[in-house]
Amino acid sequence: MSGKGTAPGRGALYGVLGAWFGLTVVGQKLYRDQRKQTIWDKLYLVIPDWRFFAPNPGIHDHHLLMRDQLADGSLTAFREIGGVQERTLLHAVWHPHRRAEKTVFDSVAELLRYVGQHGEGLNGPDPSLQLSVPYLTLLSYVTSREHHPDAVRTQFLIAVSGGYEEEDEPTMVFLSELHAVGAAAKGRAS
Amino acid sequence: MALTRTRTVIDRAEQDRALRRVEALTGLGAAVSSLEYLASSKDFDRGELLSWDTARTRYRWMTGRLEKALGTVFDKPGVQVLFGARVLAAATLMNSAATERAKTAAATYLAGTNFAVHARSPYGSDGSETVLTISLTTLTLSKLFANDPKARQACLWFIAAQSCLSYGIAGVAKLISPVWRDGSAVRDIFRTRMFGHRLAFSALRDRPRVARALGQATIAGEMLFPLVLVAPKPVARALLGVGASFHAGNAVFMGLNRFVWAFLGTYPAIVYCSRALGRGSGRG
Repeated sequence: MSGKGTAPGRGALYGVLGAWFGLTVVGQKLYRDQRKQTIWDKLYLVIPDWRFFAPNPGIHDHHLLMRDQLADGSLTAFREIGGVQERTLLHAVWHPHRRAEKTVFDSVAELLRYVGQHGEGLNGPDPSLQLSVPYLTLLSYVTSREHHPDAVRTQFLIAVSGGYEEEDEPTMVFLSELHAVGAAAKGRAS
Repeated sequence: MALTRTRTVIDRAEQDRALRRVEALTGLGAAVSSLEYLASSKDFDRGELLSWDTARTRYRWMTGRLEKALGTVFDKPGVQVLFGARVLAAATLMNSAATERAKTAAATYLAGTNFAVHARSPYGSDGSETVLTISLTTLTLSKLFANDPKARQACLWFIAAQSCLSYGIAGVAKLISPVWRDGSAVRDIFRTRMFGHRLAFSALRDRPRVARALGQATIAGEMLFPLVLVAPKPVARALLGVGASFHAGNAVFMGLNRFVWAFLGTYPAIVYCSRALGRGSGRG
């Protein structure tokens, strides 16, 4: 496309950039329901969402907790995994841990949106939930953590809190099924 | 009445300078992003949050015939090679002594892998990487039109327009929000550990007037920013200064470090397109 004879190529370029910009304008649904996924969310690779923290920003921290069920049927206490680092001045230039923090944040948001869209139903959650990417992401992460030596199954819990506003009591928003771990999982797979 | 056409003469040197500055700052943004991925590449291990085993379940085509080939690139160690090469490409883009051919290859690789990495998994990403995708793709296009100043001008305008649109939309989206207008959004964002700051929250929690002033200043600043394209020189300069300070503040208090380079990378294009700051504005 380079060189002297550029007019047709230039026309195509104008078309591509114009269409991209036009779609970006149209895709900015200011009142988009954040609980529902739309076609614009599926176009995230090319159509940006420029609303940044608006109109309703996230005002809660998400917490991922897990517990094990032991061979005798008892349950261990919940413990939090994958927490957020306390803000330091270094984060203004170098913040590699943010990627993992944001992954928990994004997958929890997507999971809750999935539950909101597909409903819990009378007989528990939609069975497709356990095959969804956010559920698999969190489950895979949880099952790969260190477990109680006698654990046969594990479970994760999502809670939200007011972060530094400690008077705002944490609330449980999602509890997963119990899933086999360790030897129990291997026995099932074989 | 005779129809007269004004022929606009494009200053190639000024255009090249603007594109080189976009390249350098965007390259720095791509370098920081890629180095952060490499520093946390444990997250790509099996059973970790960004493992290929679960990421590939997002699209059917990722687990089909292409699965093996994609795994070579998107699973460890291939994904580390991908990001290592991104660091080299970003360094090439920042290097003023690099040849145009090398820079074209670097920009193409960075743009292509930006799309690929986000197709692999959108998790952990943010708006700064969307800005990088736009800038890098447009830089690649500008290099395909190396001898066409009008096409390159369109590329600079596209980067500037997307950047100004992003500020404008963010401002309008906050203006229609009661929680932004009354400042509670600012206080409540800062209360989170994810995007907030302990000291900032303790300063704001019992000062609703300060929170409201910050919320309204953010709305006004973001909505006014696009005026940089038409405002007189002192106002245009002030708007760019406010924009840069806003990103620096967000980096310190919200941990949004990557936004600084991604957005500053669009500023040379904005300066070039600004009526008062660019395109020969100093010449009478």
